[in-house]
Amino acid sequence: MRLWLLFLWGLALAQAPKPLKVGALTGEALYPGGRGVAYGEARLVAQGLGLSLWQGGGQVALGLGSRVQAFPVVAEEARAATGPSAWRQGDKVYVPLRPLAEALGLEYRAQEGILLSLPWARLLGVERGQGRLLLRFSREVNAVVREGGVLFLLAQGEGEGLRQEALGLFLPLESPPDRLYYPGGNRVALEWGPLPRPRPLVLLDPGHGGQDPGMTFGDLKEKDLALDLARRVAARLPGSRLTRTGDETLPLEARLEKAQEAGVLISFHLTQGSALNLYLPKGRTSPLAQNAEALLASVTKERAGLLKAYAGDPRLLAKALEEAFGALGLVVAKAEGPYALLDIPGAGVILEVGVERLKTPEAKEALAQAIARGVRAYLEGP
Amino acid sequence: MRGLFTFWNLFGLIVFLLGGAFYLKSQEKTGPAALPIPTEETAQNTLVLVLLRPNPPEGFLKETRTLELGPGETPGGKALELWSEATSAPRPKALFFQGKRLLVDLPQNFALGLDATLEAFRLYSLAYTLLSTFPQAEEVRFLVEGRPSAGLAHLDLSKPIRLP
Repeated sequence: MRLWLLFLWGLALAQAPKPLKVGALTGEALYPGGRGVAYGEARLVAQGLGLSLWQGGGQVALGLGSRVQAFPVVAEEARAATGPSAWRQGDKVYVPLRPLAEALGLEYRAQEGILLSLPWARLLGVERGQGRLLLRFSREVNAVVREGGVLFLLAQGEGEGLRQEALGLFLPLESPPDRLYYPGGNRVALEWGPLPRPRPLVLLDPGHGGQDPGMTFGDLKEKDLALDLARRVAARLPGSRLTRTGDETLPLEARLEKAQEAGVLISFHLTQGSALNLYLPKGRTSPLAQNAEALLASVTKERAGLLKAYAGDPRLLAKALEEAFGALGLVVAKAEGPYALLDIPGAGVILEVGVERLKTPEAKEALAQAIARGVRAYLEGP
Repeated sequence: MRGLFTFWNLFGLIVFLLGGAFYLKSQEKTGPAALPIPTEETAQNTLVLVLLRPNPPEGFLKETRTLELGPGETPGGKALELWSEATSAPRPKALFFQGKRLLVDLPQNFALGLDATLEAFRLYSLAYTLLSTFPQAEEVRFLVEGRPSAGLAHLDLSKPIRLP
């Protein structure tokens, strides 16, 4: 009987509030629901260790650099420790300490009380670039923009212009950074200047290649003529890319993978005679592709320019190419169908050129010029 | 005389009679002695091929042929063979019936040397011929060298083809 009472007394003592030490701050560790899971107040934990803290939407999250741990907030004691979830008591929110320590790499020790700490981080290197500064530490670090510079909390080290302070390493700056973010790998990035605008990728795909010569026209092969035309167009469109740059076998699957990132795709093929054919997709499957045409028609020119980096309208591209060919007096035949490579979010077309159109270098140049003009008109147009 | 009716004599007589009865029973004819042949071959020895021959740029020319299937020939194999001969195209490697779907395995060189229009006519001629010849099927799915493929050169083969 005495042993039984001793056991119950010990159990009750184990679930009683204990002292909590978080960095230099002290508080109380609670055990909601009597389940043996130590909880600490979220704000105290964040302040004591320099962690970032977000609350809202029924959740609380604490972060250290690129690491973030979120917990759903519940009011019932019994439910809190089973999740584990955060526990709301009055206007305070408590978070489970051990899962938090494991997620963020904190030191957790339970003795007479709970000790939660974070070892100081060491600065390992600084990379300076145009409008960019990248600092690498021995662990994830939080940084705070203060007047006159940026403070890296609980960090120490030496470097050009860096100053050690009681709370961490301070980097004096003439102007505050426009962006501060954590790219991962224990790094902190500071950037100045406007965000670079996404530029649509123009992908030029010379059909066939390698073991697949395509059509043959006497001594000429479709794979060589298509590559030559694509190269001429690429020379007029800075930043554009080719799916193949030499005489290599490239399966459609590999071309399709590259095409997924393209804002504009033109696949070059040849045919007999002097025809000029444009093949367009009929019914694209991705939701972005399905909505792109309506979106492009409804947004401003500036926003359309941004959208075209990710999605496009093949009909608009075909129209721009048609007008560019029309300026040379060339008539284009268009067809829609389940053509390969065209079921992509970007604007993709297959351009089939009659071999008669490529008889002279001047004719090839004129055609390449018209294609480049058409692509530019599509990208710059509404 | 009583000496003949010993236990062992009677037991031997019973065993002999049972053995005789079993032998007579096993000699009765219960069915054909020949091995069964595949159902497809017994069920069908003629093929009505509905050939849709490419006729670019107008479309397809429809032609119906009734053919006798020789020993070992299957309707699917015969249909592929005749289509290939009639269109001067490489013979598809195999045809599989998968419920309401036909799976056609194409060789890699199936559309070699064709432009987009001729490739479309060749593939759709084969698909429409098979769907018209085997009306129980609703769609044709193409494989290339035994595997699902994005296509040969110009056409997307990742989706099945149905009759319009």
